[in-house]
Amino acid sequence: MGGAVGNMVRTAAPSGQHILKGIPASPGVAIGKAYVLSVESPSITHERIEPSAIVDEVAQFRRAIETVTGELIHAVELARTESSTVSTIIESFQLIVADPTIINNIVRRIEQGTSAEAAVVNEFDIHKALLYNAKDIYLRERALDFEQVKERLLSVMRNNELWHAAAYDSILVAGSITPHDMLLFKQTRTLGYVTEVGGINSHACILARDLGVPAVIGIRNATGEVPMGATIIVDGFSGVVVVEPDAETLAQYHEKLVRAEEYKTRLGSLIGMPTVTQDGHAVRLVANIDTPEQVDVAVMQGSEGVGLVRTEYLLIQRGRYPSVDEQTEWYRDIAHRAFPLPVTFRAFDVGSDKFREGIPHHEDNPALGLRGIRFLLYRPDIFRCQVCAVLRASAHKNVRLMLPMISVMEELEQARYIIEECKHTLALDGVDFDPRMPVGMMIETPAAAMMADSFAKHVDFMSIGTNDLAQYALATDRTNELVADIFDALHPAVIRMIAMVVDAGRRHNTTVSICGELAGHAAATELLLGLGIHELSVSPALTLQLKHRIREATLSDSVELTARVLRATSTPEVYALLAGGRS
Amino acid sequence: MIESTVSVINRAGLHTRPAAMLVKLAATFKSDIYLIRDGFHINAKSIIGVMTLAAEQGSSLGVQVEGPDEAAAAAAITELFASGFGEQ
Repeated sequence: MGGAVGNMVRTAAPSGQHILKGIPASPGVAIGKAYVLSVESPSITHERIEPSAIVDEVAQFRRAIETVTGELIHAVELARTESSTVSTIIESFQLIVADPTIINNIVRRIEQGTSAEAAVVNEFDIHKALLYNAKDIYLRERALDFEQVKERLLSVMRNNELWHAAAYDSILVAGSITPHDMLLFKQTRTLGYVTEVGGINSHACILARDLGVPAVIGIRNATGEVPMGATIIVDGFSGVVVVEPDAETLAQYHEKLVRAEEYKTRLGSLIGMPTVTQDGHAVRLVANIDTPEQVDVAVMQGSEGVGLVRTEYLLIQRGRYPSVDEQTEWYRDIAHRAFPLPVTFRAFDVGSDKFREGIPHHEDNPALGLRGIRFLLYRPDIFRCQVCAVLRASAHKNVRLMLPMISVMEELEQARYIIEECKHTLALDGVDFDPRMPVGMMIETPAAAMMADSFAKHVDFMSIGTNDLAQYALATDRTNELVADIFDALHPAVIRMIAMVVDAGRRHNTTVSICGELAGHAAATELLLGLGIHELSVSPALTLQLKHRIREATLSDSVELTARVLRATSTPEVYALLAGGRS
Repeated sequence: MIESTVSVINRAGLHTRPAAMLVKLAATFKSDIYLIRDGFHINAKSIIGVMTLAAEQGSSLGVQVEGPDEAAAAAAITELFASGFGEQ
């Protein structure tokens, strides 16, 4: 591949260290050689071909289809063991690659004298345009799948065998990355990811965190800024990528890496230890999970329960609303695995950027639209079904139900009414359940935070979703790289809202927990302790690190630090205070 | 060749998930399977074809199956539509 070789030659003359700022998407540090996947240029080298070349071009196209099919089959297998949530996405790619109409049309185009590349581009672009203009939002969302399959076919046709294996032991720099690529690159021991686009909540980023591979996203023109083969450092904690680091930076990061490894082994010894600060203040550490299997991981890592089951993963996995029986089975499985530890099921948080099935029509502004509890009250049939299933799983009294996206009191009242109705129905049917199953709410909107004092009286617990709270408080879509730098859950506005919620909880004796990303944020631990949070819910992989940080901290210092942070006026000021507090 | 008519009874119509179910099912048979709407023949093994058919709830479609396993294929396709694609 000429382009790659040319780039490598260019790096022979090092141009000195430079630093690129992006968005941290998966924690960890990686140091390695960059493997740059240049963004497939839409320009086609040759449009028309000689009749004599037709047979070869058709063969080239068919080989590309075969290669991509093989990759996807492999990826589906990996997805089954590594992360169940992505397998449905990969399946939709498989259907596109195997589409006989598309394949036949492309072959026909080539037979009429169009080059294989041009035939692929022309055929896919027609379908893409059709989907982009569809009335149906699901169809519009599928347009991206077609784009990604097209790009994959083009890159296979252009680079041939140079693909996943070529990135062996290196750091991948790409325009964007699909979840199945990430699985395949993981097999070739890719050390880290750097991308130009991609929301922090994209499937690829969630997967990177599952796989424990550091990632930084949202670096504009990363594939142009990073030369192929250059040594780069990916700092998935701070969102920094250092290109051709100088000796000093490299030494610093090598030390950081060694410490990180030591830290991991040392952490293992913490599993059975209590989560208490140096001065004896205890905090509950629980886990955020998506599947029953993750309960086992969480328990193994010493979690004291499950603070958040994102039940919408059941929907994404099945692609529809499962029946009461199906849901009951899934919830029971989770509750049994965790027993006697408590499990909090969050009712389907449908809408926004997540699962959208059942949303009646396109919304111009889905984050401000029919999502969370609003959808559940709009479709009480779906909500009732889920509440009954959660209740059925509550017989051993270790189950709690949490309501997503409550912003006004009426929503809580209506939801509670439906829950009571469900209890009544189950009691009449003689079903065994916990009649006092705790019901709590997410605090994700500024309205809920401001009114926390009123809400606290009517719920058994409150859990703060820091990402959504920050998104709504700062009016920032963090997946939009044009404004993502404004987004930060450590902005003083967000911290003050959290403090209000904690105060409200204290007044009414209602537990306040954090299940958002902030709970696991390395810099935020002392702040959260100082604010008086009772319970932190994090991804199982982060449990021991968090426990370690809590055990190193003292409540008295944390309270003092928090008082200073609450007077800060900007995010950098907060970070400076937090960094000072740790030294 | 077997010809029949099916109705889309599920609420959401033949959108992406039911379309994927239909294509996956069709692909398990050797026979050629076509959906017919307004005179257009759509290959039931083609995801783009079935998706852009945009058959909504209440619409009825012709099904044409021809091949070695046509009886089994026609029965399975009819059954999938009749079940409303497993939607509640």
